[in-house]
Amino acid sequence: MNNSTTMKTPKILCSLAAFALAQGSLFAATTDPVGFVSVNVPAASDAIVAVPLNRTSEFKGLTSAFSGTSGTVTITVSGTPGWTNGQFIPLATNNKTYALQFASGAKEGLTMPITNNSGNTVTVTVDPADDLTGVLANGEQIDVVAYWTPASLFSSPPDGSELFSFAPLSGSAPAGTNLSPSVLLVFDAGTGVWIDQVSELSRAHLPLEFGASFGFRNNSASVYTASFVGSVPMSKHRTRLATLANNTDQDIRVGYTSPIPELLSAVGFPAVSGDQLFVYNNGATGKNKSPSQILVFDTEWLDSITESPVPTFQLQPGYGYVFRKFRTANSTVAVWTDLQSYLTP
Amino acid sequence: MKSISVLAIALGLFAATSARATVSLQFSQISVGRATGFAANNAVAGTNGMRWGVIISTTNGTFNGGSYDVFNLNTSGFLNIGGVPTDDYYAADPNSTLTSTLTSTGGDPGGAGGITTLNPVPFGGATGISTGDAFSLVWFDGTPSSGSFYGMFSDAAFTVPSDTAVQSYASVFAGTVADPIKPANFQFAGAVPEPSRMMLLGFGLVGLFYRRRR
Repeated sequence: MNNSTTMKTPKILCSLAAFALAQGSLFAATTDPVGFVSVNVPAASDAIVAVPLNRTSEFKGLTSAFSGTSGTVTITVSGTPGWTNGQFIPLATNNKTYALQFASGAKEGLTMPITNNSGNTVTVTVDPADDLTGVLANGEQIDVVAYWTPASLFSSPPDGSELFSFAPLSGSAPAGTNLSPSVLLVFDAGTGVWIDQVSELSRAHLPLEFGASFGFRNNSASVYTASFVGSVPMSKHRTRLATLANNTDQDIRVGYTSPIPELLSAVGFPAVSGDQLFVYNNGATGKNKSPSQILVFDTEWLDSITESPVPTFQLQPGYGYVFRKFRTANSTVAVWTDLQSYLTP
Repeated sequence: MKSISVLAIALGLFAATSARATVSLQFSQISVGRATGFAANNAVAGTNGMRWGVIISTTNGTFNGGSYDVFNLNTSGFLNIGGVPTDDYYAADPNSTLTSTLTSTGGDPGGAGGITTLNPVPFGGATGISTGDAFSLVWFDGTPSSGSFYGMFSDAAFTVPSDTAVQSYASVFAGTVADPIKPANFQFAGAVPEPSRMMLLGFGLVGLFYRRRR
């Protein structure tokens, strides 16, 4: 069974309008192409989604120095960005939380949350399982981009819509499979705010992990079209995949950062024998849906029921998946890095 | 009012959030093991081409192999014994997959009469299926009919997982030697007449009795 032929494909409108790119020592004047992806969520149903676009880059530049390569790192950028001290502190500016993303080099696509900044430096937190080895301290291209949030993604969904997000691997994610959401939000149309279902506090500006998938529940009686408008990623896709405990399979919520369908066999997925990918039919009605298809890897991707190869299976833009990383003797990290097909020279 | 309205939303949605749907049950898993050796009646080797599914005990954790009335293997539902519904729910395979020869993996040699994954399996709602319910594999030597055979296999690990879970039971079958052959040795009794038919049969017998008395 092939996802692209047997399921209703999402409504996809992708405008890869190519703006002129002014290249210079500082390419702060460049603008990434804009894309549009939408996913229809049936009435009283769930969808597993992942945003394949970024928010507009707020700075593009080059590195000139690092204070270190792991943990808390201060990165100096070349030139004079003219930043205000602390403007990138989480929620300090327009309720945004910012990340620095490498747009070139050995760690292209790596995103790190920004915790502070000065006029020409940003302080980031490097994932404990990662470091900046191989990254040029002087001359690496970087972007400063704000995280998507519930409010910025879904500004006015139907009253009572829910959003389920899952703890990132680098955070408090538990080891194992069939994991429950770590955050459950509900949209209150009366106030126009996303509310935490446990604390009842506003979580409208909760940063959503780059490249991660999450659940959206449409509790209304009508189809809801989740529309994502943003910048087409111009850097490699990069996701960290890890087992968190010895001899334990690990579920990881993933998406692929491309606004167009991409062949699973061609996205550089670092799969090993026993890895699985759970596919969800977002066009089907129902809540708490099980995967509509389970793929398993054994030298190539197979349908887990028929064990027939699925060479034409495509990852759909806007769709989220669950990757079940097969157990390893000791907790292991694999990096999924891939140049999207539309960026291939 | 804001906190009340939010609480109302949250409480109202809690029921929706806890709405149940399906689970996925995996019996063979790449790099773990193969569930093989399911065989026809009195067979000495795994048999390919048989339909299979699961029977879930929704109440008492026990099964009634050999006693079930004939049922439609394409239709999920509660099974009967002597026309009386039991708490045992048969989950048909929506993909109508057949037992087949599975290749070796993870040191498991594989073999004929293999099964892979049952997806989706209903959960909750009218089925009454809930987390922790015991289930048994069932496979059919031919289309169920009076006198046909079927097999059942249970294991302590065979309990229904939580709602929406994808659960593997391949470790039950994993090993470096071929799985034991599991023949289908339960037999369906004759189909129990419907109550209306029973009455007609009874009237016919009474009528025959009075006629003979005259």
